[in-house]
Amino acid sequence: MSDPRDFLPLTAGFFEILLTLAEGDAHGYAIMQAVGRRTHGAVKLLPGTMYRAFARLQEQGLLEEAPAGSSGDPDDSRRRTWRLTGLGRAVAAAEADRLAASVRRAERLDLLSDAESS
Amino acid sequence: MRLVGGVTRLLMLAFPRAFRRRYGADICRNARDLAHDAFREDGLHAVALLLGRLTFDLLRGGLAERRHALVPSPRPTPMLDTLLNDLRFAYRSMRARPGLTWLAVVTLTLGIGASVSMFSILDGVLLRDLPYPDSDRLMSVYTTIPEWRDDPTLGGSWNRARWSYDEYREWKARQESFTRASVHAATTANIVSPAGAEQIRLGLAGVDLLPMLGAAPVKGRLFSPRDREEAAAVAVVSHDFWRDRLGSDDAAMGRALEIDGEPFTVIGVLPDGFEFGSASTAVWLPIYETRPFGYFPGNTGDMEHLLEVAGLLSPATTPAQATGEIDRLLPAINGADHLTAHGGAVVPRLEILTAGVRAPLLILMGAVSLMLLVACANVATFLLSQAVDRRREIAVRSALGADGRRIGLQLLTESLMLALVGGLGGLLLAAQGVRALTLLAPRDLPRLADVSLDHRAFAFALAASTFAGLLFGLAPALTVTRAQLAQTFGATRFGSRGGRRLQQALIVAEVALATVLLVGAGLLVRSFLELNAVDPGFRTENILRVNTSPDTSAFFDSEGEFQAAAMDAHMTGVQTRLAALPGVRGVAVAQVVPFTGGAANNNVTGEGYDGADGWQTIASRRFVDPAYHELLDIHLVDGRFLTPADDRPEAASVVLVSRSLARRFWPDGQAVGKALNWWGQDSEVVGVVADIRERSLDTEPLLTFYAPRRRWSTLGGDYLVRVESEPSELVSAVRNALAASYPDLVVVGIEPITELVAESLAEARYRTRLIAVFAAMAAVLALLGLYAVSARSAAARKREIGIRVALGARPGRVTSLLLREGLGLASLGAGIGLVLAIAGSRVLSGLLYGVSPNDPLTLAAISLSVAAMAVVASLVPALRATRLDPVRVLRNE
Repeated sequence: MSDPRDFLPLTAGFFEILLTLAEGDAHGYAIMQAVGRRTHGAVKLLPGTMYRAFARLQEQGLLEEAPAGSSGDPDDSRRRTWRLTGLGRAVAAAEADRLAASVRRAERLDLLSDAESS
Repeated sequence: MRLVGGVTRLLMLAFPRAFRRRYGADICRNARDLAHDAFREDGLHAVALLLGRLTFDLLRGGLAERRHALVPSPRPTPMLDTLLNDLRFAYRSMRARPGLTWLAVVTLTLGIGASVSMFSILDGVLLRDLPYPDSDRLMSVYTTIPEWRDDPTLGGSWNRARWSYDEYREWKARQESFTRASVHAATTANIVSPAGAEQIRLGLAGVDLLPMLGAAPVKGRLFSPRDREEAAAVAVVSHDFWRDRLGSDDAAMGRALEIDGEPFTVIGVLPDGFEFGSASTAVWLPIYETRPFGYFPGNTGDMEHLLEVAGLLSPATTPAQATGEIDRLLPAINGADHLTAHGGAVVPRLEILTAGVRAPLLILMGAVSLMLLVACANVATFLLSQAVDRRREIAVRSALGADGRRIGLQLLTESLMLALVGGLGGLLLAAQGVRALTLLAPRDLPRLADVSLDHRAFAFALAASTFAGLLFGLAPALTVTRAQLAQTFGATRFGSRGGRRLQQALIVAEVALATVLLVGAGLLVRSFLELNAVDPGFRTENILRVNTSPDTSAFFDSEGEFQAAAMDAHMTGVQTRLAALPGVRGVAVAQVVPFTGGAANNNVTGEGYDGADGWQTIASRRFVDPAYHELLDIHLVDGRFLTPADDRPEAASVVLVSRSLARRFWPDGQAVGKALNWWGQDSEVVGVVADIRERSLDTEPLLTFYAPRRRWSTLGGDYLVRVESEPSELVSAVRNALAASYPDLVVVGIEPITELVAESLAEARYRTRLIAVFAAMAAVLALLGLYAVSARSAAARKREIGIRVALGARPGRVTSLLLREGLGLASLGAGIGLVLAIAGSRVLSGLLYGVSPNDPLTLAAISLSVAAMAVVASLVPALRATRLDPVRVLRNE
């Protein structure tokens, strides 16, 4: 198995995709919407970008296609559903760690504003 | 919405076809969904905005995807990724098994260290280019005289005959094969320098020789054509001589040196480390046609054919062509000379230098390689048994998705890592090994100074490690990838059958290789013992050799006439002085001391001999004191020894002949009373003495005759002193006596004859020792391997043994049961080894003396030794197994 740390740092878009799938399998449009919601519009995934991301993540073994309908959404039976692999999960965790470490460092240096991020 | 879909589909053309096919439908659907939501929230306005953003996104994305299809993103490539992982894993598993790892590393260090050391010697002596420009074209040129082939003295150099200056001149004027050529020779001479009087090695060089060899003087200049025209008495000195005897003085140029009584002016200093012919050549003198060297009055014989020729072959010519040219030029060459050459020989200079040591060195390299193979086999057996132990670990990895190939590759990586660590250790060992090998080497091993541990040795170490790693890594890697893994998971039986079989095969191979090495070592040891036991035909104990180099100029008067009386007085004086020392039984002057490589030959013929061979017999001539033969306990066969009465200048000319010479001329046995013709006169044979081996212990005795030295007024510097006690005790007494009575006499050396004999055996001793060491190492490794296999075997059969003992089997029976496997493997291995040794025995035949390569005694002794070792190696684990408490064993199972 590859070392998850080899994939860092992730772009914001990639990370959000992985985060979304960490909650469960989902199809493309659902991911698009979830990311937009979670980041309050800061990260807007458009189809071209998003599917290219799917292609890259799949090549690297972080994603795989799940059997159709596994997302539980009833009208998704024809949609391509994505699932996080073990490696993908590990990479997401590693990226989260990395970001958290950065946040802690910023905290110590007193760089963080009190306002909520994004 | 349909508009959006259509536009999207259009824009998708920006993407590569493969991508379009996979995700095109999804993207279109997504786009429609987005448009749907946008319209719901904000109406047409939002949809228009969306369209704009979509266009941008898809166009940019499409182009980026096309670019990506051509050049994949620079992530760590899967291959590099797995390699790094494998290395990390290998390191971890090595650390997890420190015992095995150390054992393997130590074994490999020994094997690779020995191989690299031996390779350095081989490389420095045989493989490396000579340190001259265009050295691959540097040739030594000789004439050939086939009639010499059968001659006992000259037979060895029939195709390496030297030149006279006349022959050389005729050849050089007409030859076209060489771009440059020159003559050279070597001798010893007395020199008087600011540091005092001593004997040195003198090099003689044609004017073009040193420039041809690329020697650039660090001070002054080399010989020039002008020197030749003027026949100038000039000299070029070595760097060591300039440093040690001339004090590195810049003003040394123009200084005068007295060489054998004649003055020479120093004109140049050679670079440090330059050598040609002999490493210890201190001074070079020029060879001109008009300047004969090494010529002493009263000593004619063939002193003219002294010169060797070296040349740079023209790039367009082959040695064979150059040889052919000499053949064509023979009429001119022979016309100038009284010797008749029949052909030429053009040989690369490197070959001339290394001829004698090529075979032994290659054999040694072969032996050490065999030892390395044994080491690899040993490590392979260790790894194999470990591979079986790691079944569980490997099965788990397999379940996690690694296929057999991946696991096998990972194990191979582990082996390579082990091998490289062993290689590193081997290099460190080799640094000491090379030093030891060079220190122990015979002093006259050519190019010994060129031996060093350098980048070529590193490259060899790397290659050897990689080869070793692949070799012993294949065994476990192959075994593990078998599908049997899944079957053996959970089984209690020892190892997969394939792994066990392979282990046994490896042990057999190890024992076979070790046997081959042991047979070789055994033969060489026997040969050395035979050689050591050879009776040279004269006494070697209690004889001291005193080597002096008298200043010969003192024996020539002002007109250059040789004063025999003066010389005789000197030698007799020294002889008397030495004889007066306490503990000395007798002193004899010797013209040629045995085992020093000296030679003095004459054409001879015997009375009544019809000389059917068309070429006169050449015999060794020795001028000796009458006391010589008795001093050396040389056996008198017929007639009488020489007496002081024979030893006067006015006495009748008499000689002693050696038994072989007597047989040659007078096979009927009546030599005494016959006449021997030499130097144009007849001498009466008054006695026949036993043959002695003067050259070396393994050379047949030469045809020899002895004449009284005073009768012939010959010059000599060697004295043989027979002492009552240990010769080495008298060395300082001799030195002091000579220093007191003859302060200007150069004493070159004082040593017991036994030391000379021992030195003549130095090369044989060296290679015998080395092969014995390699064989011993291989045997120890094979023993270890056998022990390990037997121990594992016994451990695995604990249950079976426990049952047997519980059922009442006697310990003896159980032991023999366990022994059977070990002995069986060893016997098979020894048998194969013996067959291989016999098949390859011819390789050693050139190095053996008095022992046939298939000597049955040696073969039998080695077989017995291997059997004994096998018994010991198998017995210990077998005995331990029988002492197990059967109840405990069965309970644990």
